[in-house]
Amino acid sequence: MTIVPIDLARTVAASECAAAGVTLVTPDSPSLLRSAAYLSVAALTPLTVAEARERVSLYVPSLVSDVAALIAGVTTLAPMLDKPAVIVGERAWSEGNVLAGVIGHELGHRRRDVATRGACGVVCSALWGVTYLAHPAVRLWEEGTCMTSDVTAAVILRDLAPDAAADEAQRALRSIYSADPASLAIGGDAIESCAASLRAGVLHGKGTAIESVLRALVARGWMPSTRWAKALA
Amino acid sequence: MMRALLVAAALVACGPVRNTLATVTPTVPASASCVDGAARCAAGVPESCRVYDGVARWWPLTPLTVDGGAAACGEVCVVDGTPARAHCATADAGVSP
Repeated sequence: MTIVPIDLARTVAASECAAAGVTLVTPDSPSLLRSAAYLSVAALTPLTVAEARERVSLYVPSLVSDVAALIAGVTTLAPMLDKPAVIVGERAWSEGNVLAGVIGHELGHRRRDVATRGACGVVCSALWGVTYLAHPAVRLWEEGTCMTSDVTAAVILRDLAPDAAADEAQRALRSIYSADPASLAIGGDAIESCAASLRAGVLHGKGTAIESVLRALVARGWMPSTRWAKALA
Repeated sequence: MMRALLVAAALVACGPVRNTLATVTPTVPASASCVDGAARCAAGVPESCRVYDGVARWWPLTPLTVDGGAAACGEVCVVDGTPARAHCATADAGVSP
């Protein structure tokens, strides 16, 4: 296994986001959208704004672009919200081996957004948004399945054992989302299932966003370990 | 306006209301008859049964493909271990029902 150079990881992050039709907002991007996003994160989680900027990456769904287009008072944000966005935290932007998992995670949310929008347009986007915020089990399920990208990246790119990667993800799930045990169990099931898949030597599902990111890294010259070379060939 | 927002917030914090929201939201799994903690493979997708607010659902455990469905395993999906867990595996691991 070779370390993923940060420039390579950033290039792949940009190309994968462009292919998914989202704006990539990095720590050195114009700060208004990032500031608004991290204030929201601090309001909804136990994290401070500084902790959120450091640790949290997030997906800004198409519904937010719709609302921004309708509200005249946010015209200063509008140019950055003309389409959905992935906002990358400071830590992820500085570590290539972490960034790949984060991009896979956030583009997993993008796929949910597209699927929901495709079902019945903006009405379904709004329904999903309200349900995500109101229903802890749905929120933790969505986050748990997307966190399987972080687990996969930790094993394949950082050479962590699957159990250690799962423990890391479970801690992150508990610390970021103040949720009840039943909701955490649903997110935790996805993480533990992913760890079991990786222990078995296979990716956790075919055609996922993290698989696309890993294949893009390989296509640009990154060499996976022998154990994972076949899966990513 | 503020009163309406507070009423709305109280309503969505109520189990039956949020379960109704989940039921009418596409891409949220439908309610099902299953036992909390059970595991299965459905069309090659690992799933676990969890009960929340008194409603059981089979929750797919993989992220989505670009087509918007839960990603099926590339080779096979199996159920094994204690507690039973559904996950992806190589073809020689066999296929679970």
